[in-house]
Amino acid sequence: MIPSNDEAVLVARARQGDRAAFSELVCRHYQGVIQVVYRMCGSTQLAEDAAQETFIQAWLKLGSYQPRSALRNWLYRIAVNTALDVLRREVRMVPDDVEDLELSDGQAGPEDTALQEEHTAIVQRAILSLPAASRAVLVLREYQELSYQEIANTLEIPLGTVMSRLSYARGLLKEALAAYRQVLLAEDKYV
Amino acid sequence: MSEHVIDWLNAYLDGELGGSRLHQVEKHLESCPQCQAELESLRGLSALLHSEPLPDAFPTASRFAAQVALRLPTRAVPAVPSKNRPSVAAVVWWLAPLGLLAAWAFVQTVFLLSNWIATAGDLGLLGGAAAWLNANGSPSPLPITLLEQVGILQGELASVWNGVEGLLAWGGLGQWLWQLPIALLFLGWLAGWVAWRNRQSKDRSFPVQS
Repeated sequence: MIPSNDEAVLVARARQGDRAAFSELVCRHYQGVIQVVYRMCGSTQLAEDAAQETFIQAWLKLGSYQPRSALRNWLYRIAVNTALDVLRREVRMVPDDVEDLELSDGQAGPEDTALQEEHTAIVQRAILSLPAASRAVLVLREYQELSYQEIANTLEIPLGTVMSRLSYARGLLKEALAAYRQVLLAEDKYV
Repeated sequence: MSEHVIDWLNAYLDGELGGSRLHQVEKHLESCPQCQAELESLRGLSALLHSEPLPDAFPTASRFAAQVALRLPTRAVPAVPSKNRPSVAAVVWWLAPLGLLAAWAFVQTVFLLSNWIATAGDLGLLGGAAAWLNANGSPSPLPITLLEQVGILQGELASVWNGVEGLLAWGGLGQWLWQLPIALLFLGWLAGWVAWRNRQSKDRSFPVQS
Protein backbone atom coordinates (compact mmCIF):
# COMPACT_ATOMS: atom_id res chain seq x y z
CA MET A 1 0.00 0.00 0.00
CA ILE A 2 1.30 3.41 -0.92
CA PRO A 3 1.66 5.40 2.29
CA SER A 4 1.67 8.84 0.68
CA ASN A 5 -1.55 10.49 -0.45
CA ASP A 6 0.25 13.16 -2.41
CA GLU A 7 -0.63 12.76 -6.05
CA ALA A 8 2.57 14.48 -7.12
CA VAL A 9 4.59 11.87 -5.24
CA LEU A 10 2.62 9.09 -6.91
CA VAL A 11 3.24 10.61 -10.33
CA ALA A 12 6.95 10.93 -9.61
CA ARG A 13 7.11 7.31 -8.50
CA ALA A 14 5.12 6.14 -11.49
CA ARG A 15 7.52 7.99 -13.76
CA GLN A 16 10.32 5.95 -12.24
CA GLY A 17 8.47 2.77 -13.15
CA ASP A 18 6.62 2.15 -9.89
CA ARG A 19 3.59 0.19 -11.05
CA ALA A 20 2.03 0.13 -7.62
CA ALA A 21 2.05 3.93 -7.59
CA PHE A 22 0.48 4.01 -11.04
CA SER A 23 -2.20 1.54 -9.96
CA GLU A 24 -3.05 3.89 -7.11
CA LEU A 25 -3.45 6.70 -9.62
CA VAL A 26 -5.67 4.48 -11.75
CA CYS A 27 -7.91 3.76 -8.78
CA ARG A 28 -8.19 7.43 -7.96
CA HIS A 29 -9.15 8.53 -11.46
CA TYR A 30 -11.02 5.46 -12.67
CA GLN A 31 -14.53 6.80 -12.01
CA GLY A 32 -13.91 10.08 -13.80
CA VAL A 33 -12.31 8.44 -16.83
CA ILE A 34 -14.96 5.75 -17.14
CA GLN A 35 -17.67 8.42 -16.97
CA VAL A 36 -16.03 10.39 -19.78
CA VAL A 37 -15.43 7.46 -22.10
CA TYR A 38 -18.87 5.94 -21.47
CA ARG A 39 -20.62 9.17 -22.33
CA MET A 40 -18.42 9.55 -25.40
CA CYS A 41 -18.87 5.94 -26.60
CA GLY A 42 -22.35 5.02 -25.36
CA SER A 43 -21.43 1.38 -24.80
CA THR A 44 -20.12 -0.29 -21.65
CA GLN A 45 -17.82 -2.63 -23.56
CA LEU A 46 -16.36 0.12 -25.70
CA ALA A 47 -16.05 2.35 -22.65
CA GLU A 48 -14.15 -0.27 -20.68
CA ASP A 49 -11.79 -0.85 -23.59
CA ALA A 50 -11.29 2.89 -24.02
CA ALA A 51 -10.69 3.36 -20.29
CA GLN A 52 -8.02 0.67 -20.23
CA GLU A 53 -6.40 2.14 -23.32
CA THR A 54 -6.51 5.58 -21.71
CA PHE A 55 -4.50 4.50 -18.70
CA ILE A 56 -2.06 2.53 -20.84
CA GLN A 57 -1.45 5.64 -22.92
CA ALA A 58 -1.07 7.65 -19.72
CA TRP A 59 1.58 5.19 -18.50
CA LEU A 60 3.50 5.50 -21.75
CA LYS A 61 3.17 9.29 -21.94
CA LEU A 62 3.68 10.12 -18.30
CA GLY A 63 6.87 11.90 -19.24
CA SER A 64 4.90 14.50 -21.18
CA TYR A 65 2.59 15.35 -18.30
CA GLN A 66 3.23 18.86 -17.01
CA PRO A 67 2.48 19.17 -13.26
CA ARG A 68 1.19 22.73 -13.69
CA SER A 69 -2.09 21.23 -14.94
CA ALA A 70 -4.29 18.85 -12.99
CA LEU A 71 -3.60 15.17 -13.67
CA ARG A 72 -7.31 14.62 -13.87
CA ASN A 73 -7.68 17.03 -16.79
CA TRP A 74 -4.66 15.56 -18.54
CA LEU A 75 -6.23 12.09 -18.26
CA TYR A 76 -9.56 13.40 -19.57
CA ARG A 77 -7.86 14.70 -22.70
CA ILE A 78 -6.36 11.28 -23.36
CA ALA A 79 -9.72 9.70 -22.55
CA VAL A 80 -11.61 11.85 -25.07
CA ASN A 81 -9.14 11.11 -27.84
CA THR A 82 -9.05 7.40 -27.00
CA ALA A 83 -12.85 7.18 -26.94
CA LEU A 84 -13.03 8.75 -30.38
CA ASP A 85 -10.41 6.33 -31.66
CA VAL A 86 -12.37 3.39 -30.27
CA LEU A 87 -15.55 4.65 -31.91
CA ARG A 88 -13.85 4.99 -35.28
CA ARG A 89 -12.75 1.36 -35.06
CA GLU A 90 -16.30 0.21 -34.40
CA VAL A 91 -18.80 -0.26 -37.23
CA ARG A 92 -21.75 0.18 -34.94
CA MET A 93 -21.28 3.56 -33.29
CA VAL A 94 -24.69 3.80 -31.66
CA PRO A 95 -26.19 0.99 -29.60
CA ASP A 96 -29.10 -0.31 -31.66
CA ASP A 97 -30.47 -2.60 -29.04
CA VAL A 98 -31.53 -1.50 -25.59
CA GLU A 99 -30.44 -4.89 -24.23
CA ASP A 100 -26.87 -3.71 -24.76
CA LEU A 101 -27.30 -1.26 -21.92
CA GLU A 102 -27.03 -2.53 -18.36
CA LEU A 103 -29.47 -1.87 -15.59
CA SER A 104 -28.69 0.82 -13.08
CA ASP A 105 -31.04 -0.51 -10.39
CA GLY A 106 -31.10 -4.26 -9.85
CA GLN A 107 -34.07 -4.01 -7.53
CA ALA A 108 -36.47 -2.66 -10.13
CA GLY A 109 -39.23 -4.77 -11.59
CA PRO A 110 -39.35 -5.82 -15.23
CA GLU A 111 -41.44 -2.86 -16.37
CA ASP A 112 -39.29 -0.34 -14.56
CA THR A 113 -36.21 -2.03 -15.91
CA ALA A 114 -37.38 -1.79 -19.49
CA LEU A 115 -38.42 1.81 -18.97
CA GLN A 116 -35.07 2.73 -17.45
CA GLU A 117 -33.26 1.03 -20.28
CA GLU A 118 -35.34 2.93 -22.78
CA HIS A 119 -34.66 6.21 -21.05
CA THR A 120 -30.96 5.50 -20.94
CA ALA A 121 -30.87 4.49 -24.58
CA ILE A 122 -32.73 7.60 -25.71
CA VAL A 123 -30.51 9.98 -23.79
CA GLN A 124 -27.29 8.24 -24.73
CA ARG A 125 -28.30 8.06 -28.38
CA ALA A 126 -28.97 11.79 -28.35
CA ILE A 127 -25.53 12.46 -26.85
CA LEU A 128 -23.88 10.23 -29.43
CA SER A 129 -25.61 12.11 -32.23
CA LEU A 130 -23.62 15.24 -31.32
CA PRO A 131 -20.49 16.12 -33.28
CA ALA A 132 -17.44 14.74 -31.50
CA ALA A 133 -16.00 18.15 -30.63
CA SER A 134 -19.25 19.39 -29.08
CA ARG A 135 -19.87 16.08 -27.36
CA ALA A 136 -16.50 16.25 -25.63
CA VAL A 137 -17.21 19.73 -24.26
CA LEU A 138 -20.69 18.72 -23.11
CA VAL A 139 -19.43 15.57 -21.37
CA LEU A 140 -16.65 17.41 -19.55
CA ARG A 141 -19.05 20.15 -18.44
CA GLU A 142 -22.15 18.12 -17.55
CA TYR A 143 -20.62 14.96 -16.14
CA GLN A 144 -17.25 16.08 -14.81
CA GLU A 145 -18.30 19.63 -13.94
CA LEU A 146 -15.12 21.14 -15.25
CA SER A 147 -15.10 24.91 -15.48
CA TYR A 148 -14.99 26.54 -18.89
CA GLN A 149 -11.33 27.42 -18.40
CA GLU A 150 -10.50 23.85 -17.36
CA ILE A 151 -12.25 22.51 -20.43
CA ALA A 152 -10.35 24.99 -22.60
CA ASN A 153 -7.06 23.89 -21.05
CA THR A 154 -7.92 20.19 -21.28
CA LEU A 155 -8.96 20.25 -24.92
CA GLU A 156 -6.53 23.06 -25.81
CA ILE A 157 -9.19 25.23 -27.39
CA PRO A 158 -10.02 28.89 -26.77
CA LEU A 159 -12.51 29.83 -24.09
CA GLY A 160 -14.90 31.24 -26.66
CA THR A 161 -14.87 27.93 -28.52
CA VAL A 162 -15.87 26.12 -25.32
CA MET A 163 -18.85 28.44 -24.95
CA SER A 164 -19.99 28.11 -28.54
CA ARG A 165 -19.63 24.32 -28.64
CA LEU A 166 -21.46 23.90 -25.36
CA SER A 167 -24.28 26.14 -26.50
CA TYR A 168 -24.48 24.25 -29.79
CA ALA A 169 -24.49 20.86 -28.03
CA ARG A 170 -27.24 21.84 -25.63
CA GLY A 171 -29.29 23.29 -28.45
CA LEU A 172 -29.04 20.07 -30.45
CA LEU A 173 -29.89 17.96 -27.41
CA LYS A 174 -32.95 20.04 -26.67
CA GLU A 175 -34.19 19.44 -30.18
CA ALA A 176 -33.32 15.74 -30.14
CA LEU A 177 -34.96 15.18 -26.78
CA ALA A 178 -37.92 17.51 -27.26
CA ALA A 179 -40.44 14.75 -27.84
CA TYR A 180 -38.95 12.62 -25.07
CA ARG A 181 -39.15 15.48 -22.63
CA GLN A 182 -42.86 15.83 -23.37
CA VAL A 183 -43.33 12.19 -22.45
CA LEU A 184 -41.43 12.71 -19.23
CA LEU A 185 -43.51 15.77 -18.44
CA ALA A 186 -46.61 13.66 -18.83
CA GLU A 187 -45.03 11.09 -16.50
CA ASP A 188 -44.18 13.89 -14.09
CA LYS A 189 -40.48 13.02 -14.24
CA TYR A 190 -39.24 16.13 -16.01
CA VAL A 191 -38.37 19.18 -13.94
CA MET B 1 -36.91 46.70 -22.50
CA SER B 2 -33.35 45.46 -22.12
CA GLU B 3 -31.75 43.15 -24.64
CA HIS B 4 -32.36 39.42 -24.20
CA VAL B 5 -29.61 37.52 -22.42
CA ILE B 6 -30.15 34.15 -24.06
CA ASP B 7 -26.52 34.07 -25.22
CA TRP B 8 -25.38 34.24 -21.58
CA LEU B 9 -27.79 31.73 -20.08
CA ASN B 10 -25.50 28.74 -20.55
CA ALA B 11 -22.71 30.51 -18.68
CA TYR B 12 -25.18 31.72 -16.05
CA LEU B 13 -26.45 28.19 -15.52
CA ASP B 14 -22.88 26.91 -15.15
CA GLY B 15 -21.93 29.59 -12.64
CA GLU B 16 -19.36 31.12 -14.97
CA LEU B 17 -20.63 34.68 -14.84
CA GLY B 18 -19.47 37.33 -12.45
CA GLY B 19 -19.48 41.03 -11.79
CA SER B 20 -21.60 43.32 -13.89
CA ARG B 21 -22.53 40.63 -16.41
CA LEU B 22 -24.02 38.43 -13.68
CA HIS B 23 -25.96 41.36 -12.32
CA GLN B 24 -27.22 42.24 -15.78
CA VAL B 25 -28.45 38.71 -16.46
CA GLU B 26 -30.11 38.32 -13.07
CA LYS B 27 -31.85 41.66 -13.40
CA HIS B 28 -33.06 40.81 -16.89
CA LEU B 29 -34.37 37.41 -15.80
CA GLU B 30 -36.58 39.06 -13.20
CA SER B 31 -38.74 40.56 -15.91
CA CYS B 32 -38.30 38.49 -19.07
CA PRO B 33 -40.54 35.41 -19.39
CA GLN B 34 -38.80 34.34 -22.60
CA CYS B 35 -35.36 34.16 -21.04
CA GLN B 36 -36.81 32.57 -17.91
CA ALA B 37 -38.36 29.85 -20.03
CA GLU B 38 -35.10 29.29 -21.85
CA LEU B 39 -33.23 29.02 -18.55
CA GLU B 40 -35.72 26.50 -17.23
CA SER B 41 -35.37 24.54 -20.44
CA LEU B 42 -31.61 24.40 -19.94
CA ARG B 43 -32.04 23.35 -16.31
CA GLY B 44 -34.41 20.61 -17.38
CA LEU B 45 -31.98 19.36 -19.98
CA SER B 46 -29.15 19.23 -17.45
CA ALA B 47 -31.37 17.36 -14.98
CA LEU B 48 -32.33 14.89 -17.69
CA LEU B 49 -28.70 14.24 -18.57
CA HIS B 50 -27.88 13.66 -14.92
CA SER B 51 -30.86 11.37 -14.38
CA GLU B 52 -29.16 8.59 -16.32
CA PRO B 53 -26.55 7.01 -14.05
CA LEU B 54 -23.61 4.92 -15.11
CA PRO B 55 -24.43 1.26 -15.70
CA ASP B 56 -23.45 -1.19 -12.97
CA ALA B 57 -21.64 -3.38 -15.48
CA PHE B 58 -18.31 -1.69 -14.94
CA PRO B 59 -15.76 -3.40 -12.69
CA THR B 60 -14.66 -1.96 -9.38
CA ALA B 61 -11.73 0.43 -9.32
CA SER B 62 -9.34 -2.10 -7.80
CA ARG B 63 -10.29 -4.81 -10.25
CA PHE B 64 -9.97 -2.40 -13.15
CA ALA B 65 -6.55 -1.27 -11.90
CA ALA B 66 -5.44 -4.90 -11.77
CA GLN B 67 -6.61 -5.43 -15.35
CA VAL B 68 -4.69 -2.36 -16.47
CA ALA B 69 -1.57 -3.49 -14.57
CA LEU B 70 -1.58 -6.75 -16.53
CA ARG B 71 -1.62 -4.85 -19.78
CA LEU B 72 0.98 -2.21 -18.94
CA PRO B 73 3.90 -2.54 -21.30
CA THR B 74 7.40 -2.61 -19.92
CA ARG B 75 8.93 0.80 -20.00
CA ALA B 76 12.64 0.54 -20.71
CA VAL B 77 13.58 3.84 -19.15
CA PRO B 78 11.84 6.04 -16.60
CA ALA B 79 9.47 8.56 -18.09
CA VAL B 80 11.63 11.63 -17.59
CA PRO B 81 9.62 14.79 -17.98
CA SER B 82 10.26 16.18 -21.43
CA LYS B 83 11.03 19.85 -21.58
CA ASN B 84 8.91 21.96 -23.79
CA ARG B 85 11.31 23.13 -26.45
CA PRO B 86 10.37 26.21 -28.38
CA SER B 87 10.13 25.87 -32.14
CA VAL B 88 12.77 27.32 -34.44
CA ALA B 89 10.27 29.89 -35.67
CA ALA B 90 9.57 31.00 -32.11
CA VAL B 91 13.29 31.38 -31.40
CA VAL B 92 13.82 33.39 -34.58
CA TRP B 93 10.79 35.54 -33.77
CA TRP B 94 12.07 36.47 -30.32
CA LEU B 95 15.66 36.98 -31.52
CA ALA B 96 14.54 39.30 -34.35
CA PRO B 97 14.44 42.49 -32.26
CA LEU B 98 17.87 41.67 -30.85
CA GLY B 99 19.16 41.23 -34.38
CA LEU B 100 17.68 44.54 -35.45
CA LEU B 101 19.20 46.22 -32.44
CA ALA B 102 22.56 44.72 -33.27
CA ALA B 103 22.26 45.91 -36.87
CA TRP B 104 21.36 49.42 -35.73
CA ALA B 105 24.28 49.47 -33.30
CA PHE B 106 26.62 48.29 -36.05
CA VAL B 107 25.47 51.01 -38.46
CA GLN B 108 25.72 53.66 -35.78
CA THR B 109 29.20 52.51 -34.85
CA VAL B 110 30.37 52.60 -38.45
CA PHE B 111 29.08 56.13 -38.95
CA LEU B 112 30.48 57.27 -35.62
CA LEU B 113 33.92 55.87 -36.34
CA SER B 114 33.86 57.40 -39.80
CA ASN B 115 33.05 60.81 -38.38
CA TRP B 116 35.68 60.51 -35.68
CA ILE B 117 38.38 59.50 -38.16
CA ALA B 118 37.35 62.23 -40.58
CA THR B 119 37.38 64.83 -37.81
CA ALA B 120 40.71 63.60 -36.54
CA GLY B 121 42.07 63.81 -40.06
CA ASP B 122 40.78 67.36 -40.47
CA LEU B 123 42.45 68.32 -37.20
CA GLY B 124 45.66 66.76 -38.36
CA LEU B 125 45.74 64.33 -35.50
CA LEU B 126 46.34 61.38 -37.77
CA GLY B 127 49.15 62.92 -39.76
CA GLY B 128 49.67 61.33 -43.11
CA ALA B 129 48.25 57.97 -42.03
CA ALA B 130 44.67 58.93 -42.77
CA ALA B 131 45.34 60.94 -45.89
CA TRP B 132 43.79 58.21 -47.99
CA LEU B 133 40.46 58.78 -46.23
CA ASN B 134 40.21 62.28 -47.61
CA ALA B 135 41.49 61.44 -51.05
CA ASN B 136 38.38 62.94 -52.68
CA GLY B 137 38.35 65.97 -50.46
CA SER B 138 35.29 64.91 -48.50
CA PRO B 139 34.84 62.30 -45.78
CA SER B 140 33.30 59.01 -46.90
CA PRO B 141 32.01 56.08 -44.90
CA LEU B 142 34.69 53.51 -44.24
CA PRO B 143 33.13 50.77 -46.39
CA ILE B 144 32.91 53.13 -49.40
CA THR B 145 36.50 54.25 -48.93
CA LEU B 146 37.63 50.66 -48.81
CA LEU B 147 35.76 49.95 -52.06
CA GLU B 148 37.57 52.90 -53.65
CA GLN B 149 40.93 51.76 -52.40
CA VAL B 150 40.57 48.21 -53.72
CA GLY B 151 39.47 49.55 -57.10
CA ILE B 152 35.84 48.41 -57.11
CA LEU B 153 34.36 51.89 -56.98
CA GLN B 154 35.96 53.52 -60.07
CA GLY B 155 35.16 55.48 -63.18
CA GLU B 156 31.47 56.16 -63.85
CA LEU B 157 30.48 54.22 -60.78
CA ALA B 158 32.62 56.52 -58.69
CA SER B 159 31.05 59.58 -60.33
CA VAL B 160 27.57 58.30 -59.63
CA TRP B 161 28.55 57.57 -56.06
CA ASN B 162 29.99 61.06 -55.66
CA GLY B 163 26.64 62.52 -56.71
CA VAL B 164 24.77 60.24 -54.34
CA GLU B 165 27.26 60.97 -51.62
CA GLY B 166 26.64 64.67 -51.97
CA LEU B 167 22.91 64.09 -51.62
CA LEU B 168 23.35 61.77 -48.65
CA ALA B 169 25.64 64.23 -46.96
CA TRP B 170 22.87 66.84 -46.97
CA GLY B 171 21.56 67.17 -43.41
CA GLY B 172 22.95 63.72 -42.44
CA LEU B 173 20.39 62.12 -44.74
CA GLY B 174 22.61 59.15 -45.37
CA GLN B 175 22.72 58.18 -41.75
CA TRP B 176 18.94 58.40 -41.46
CA LEU B 177 18.41 56.30 -44.57
CA TRP B 178 20.43 53.49 -43.02
CA GLN B 179 18.36 53.61 -39.88
CA LEU B 180 14.97 53.88 -41.56
CA PRO B 181 14.64 50.27 -42.76
CA ILE B 182 15.88 48.99 -39.43
CA ALA B 183 13.31 51.13 -37.64
CA LEU B 184 10.54 49.99 -39.99
CA LEU B 185 11.42 46.34 -39.43
CA PHE B 186 11.37 46.82 -35.69
CA LEU B 187 8.03 48.62 -35.80
CA GLY B 188 6.66 45.80 -37.91
CA TRP B 189 7.82 43.24 -35.36
CA LEU B 190 6.33 45.33 -32.57
CA ALA B 191 2.99 45.55 -34.38
CA GLY B 192 2.98 41.78 -34.83
CA TRP B 193 3.68 41.23 -31.15
CA VAL B 194 0.88 43.60 -30.11
CA ALA B 195 -1.55 41.87 -32.47
CA TRP B 196 -0.58 38.49 -31.06
CA ARG B 197 -1.04 39.70 -27.49
CA ASN B 198 -4.42 41.20 -28.32
CA ARG B 199 -5.56 37.92 -29.84
CA GLN B 200 -4.38 36.01 -26.78
CA SER B 201 -6.23 38.32 -24.43
CA LYS B 202 -9.36 38.25 -26.61
CA ASP B 203 -9.50 34.45 -26.40
CA ARG B 204 -9.33 34.70 -22.63
CA SER B 205 -11.64 37.68 -22.21
CA PHE B 206 -14.67 36.19 -20.53
CA PRO B 207 -16.32 37.28 -17.35
CA VAL B 208 -15.61 34.65 -14.74
CA GLN B 209 -17.05 34.39 -11.33
CA SER B 210 -14.88 36.28 -8.87
